[in-house]
Amino acid sequence: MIQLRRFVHVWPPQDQPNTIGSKLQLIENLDTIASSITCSARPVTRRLSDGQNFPSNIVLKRTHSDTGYHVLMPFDKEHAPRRTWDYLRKNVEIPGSVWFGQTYVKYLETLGEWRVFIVGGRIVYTVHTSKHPTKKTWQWDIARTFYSLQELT
Amino acid sequence: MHQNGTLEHLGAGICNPDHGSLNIRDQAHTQFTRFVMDTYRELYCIESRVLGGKPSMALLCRFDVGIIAENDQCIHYFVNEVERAQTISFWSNRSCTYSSAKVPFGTLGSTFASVFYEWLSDVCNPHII
Repeated sequence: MIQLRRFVHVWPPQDQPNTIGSKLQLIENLDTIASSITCSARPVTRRLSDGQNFPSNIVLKRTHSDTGYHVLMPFDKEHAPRRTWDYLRKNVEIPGSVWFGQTYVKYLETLGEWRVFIVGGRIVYTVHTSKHPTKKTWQWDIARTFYSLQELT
Repeated sequence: MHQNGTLEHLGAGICNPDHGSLNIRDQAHTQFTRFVMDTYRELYCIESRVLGGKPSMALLCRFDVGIIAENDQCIHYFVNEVERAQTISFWSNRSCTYSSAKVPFGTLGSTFASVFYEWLSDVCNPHII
């Protein structure tokens, strides 16, 4: 790729396909913005040291999560066997990848997320996605109207 | 809703409320958009300083936004993930569950073509002025 880039422009640049630096750096940036600009809450994120005990009620995530494969939810019977240091140690095959713990946010599961598509610094459209409570398949719709946070509180 | 325990039961119904006055819905839309764009602009500033150039998010990115409760009282938006370039899923098909409209994917494509051309022109141009 480095050789190819001598002859053609490549987008996105090789050093920023996912983020600038690591996912932990992105989280740190988002934490800073939430505390200083938007004055809003965020889940607490901590990098895990090898062998460190972790509470059973936090989410375990790996940088380079492989479209969610390396996200281990608490209270999930399928994920429970993988929430061990044996498994975590065996799954750092990507250079620089690390595991971290994050507060479990129940509303991500029960209410879903809004996916906001931004092109050239402008929002083009927003889709709301959530898991169907019984089928566990994705359901989604274009977001046209919103509740205010005051209404939701 | 959060405080009386009914928020969770909204489920997918949190999207597209069709009650309340137009003023209330406009304010709610502004609140959501302002949160996203304030975060986007500041993240862009941080990353452009780190890179000394334009981060790829200037052309295309997706912000995934969720809801979080603070001290079991106030409700806030938070950015759960920022996806870029080839890792973005566009959710461009209609959902089977809803009779939803199709996303304006053509508009996204045309807008991207336009900003990509501007980016390429800028990168190819050796003159600052």
